[in-house]
Amino acid sequence: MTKIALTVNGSRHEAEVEPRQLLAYFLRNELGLTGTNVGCDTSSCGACTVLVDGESIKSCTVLAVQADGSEVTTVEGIAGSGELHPVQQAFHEAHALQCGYCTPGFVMATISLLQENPNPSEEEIRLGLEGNLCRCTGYHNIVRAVQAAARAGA
Amino acid sequence: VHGGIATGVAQALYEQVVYDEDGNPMTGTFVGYAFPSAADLPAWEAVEMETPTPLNALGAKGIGESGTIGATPAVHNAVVDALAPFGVRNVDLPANGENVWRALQGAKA
Repeated sequence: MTKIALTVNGSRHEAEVEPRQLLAYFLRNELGLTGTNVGCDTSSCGACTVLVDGESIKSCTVLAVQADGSEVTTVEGIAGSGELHPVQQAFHEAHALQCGYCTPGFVMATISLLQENPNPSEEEIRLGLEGNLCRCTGYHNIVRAVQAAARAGA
Repeated sequence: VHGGIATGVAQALYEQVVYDEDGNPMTGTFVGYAFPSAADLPAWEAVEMETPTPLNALGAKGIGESGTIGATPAVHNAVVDALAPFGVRNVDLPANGENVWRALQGAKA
């Protein structure tokens, strides 16, 4: 077991983890943050996307020990008290989800995309979200939601 | 409807499970399966058309994933039509680079 210390959604956590434990399972099983979904376990689908030190990563392919000393943000950590994050609000209003399984990953990837590029073109949005897969929506409304979030200054 | 169209287009152009000669699945991930991302698909415009069926009192028909049903033949027929000048009359699904190349080689032979 290896001792790690990290900040998750603003709270500091110290834990003993197996060196092979993946960050996604640490978040889900040890911290109970089940908003981070595991879709494929092969970094194909992006459902497990979280922010590590502000940058989006696929947490099913990052070891918990690699997040030692870092600041992790999951979908549970982005909303204000009683208010959705502007990206969540945009997904809600643009009907950018159906089953919702991919949504936490898309929301986190969108936050990271808009931090890097606050006014992306449609093509830049589609390329920027290439690492996240959705079976239900055909992506159309997801792209519209990202455009709306960009307009709202998310 | 959008998602149904995407699924239908994906079947026409991208997605495939490959097995080796011994029946072992060679497609281990969504990347190998070629599940399309937002970058692989266009925007959609859905237009509603009402064509009631005469076969029941309400005129109602099933609609589950209706986009899927039309999208695959529409896209695939477009690919075959584009290759018709080269003598191609059939392309195996999915119409990815390899299958289009094979169809062109077959038409030459």
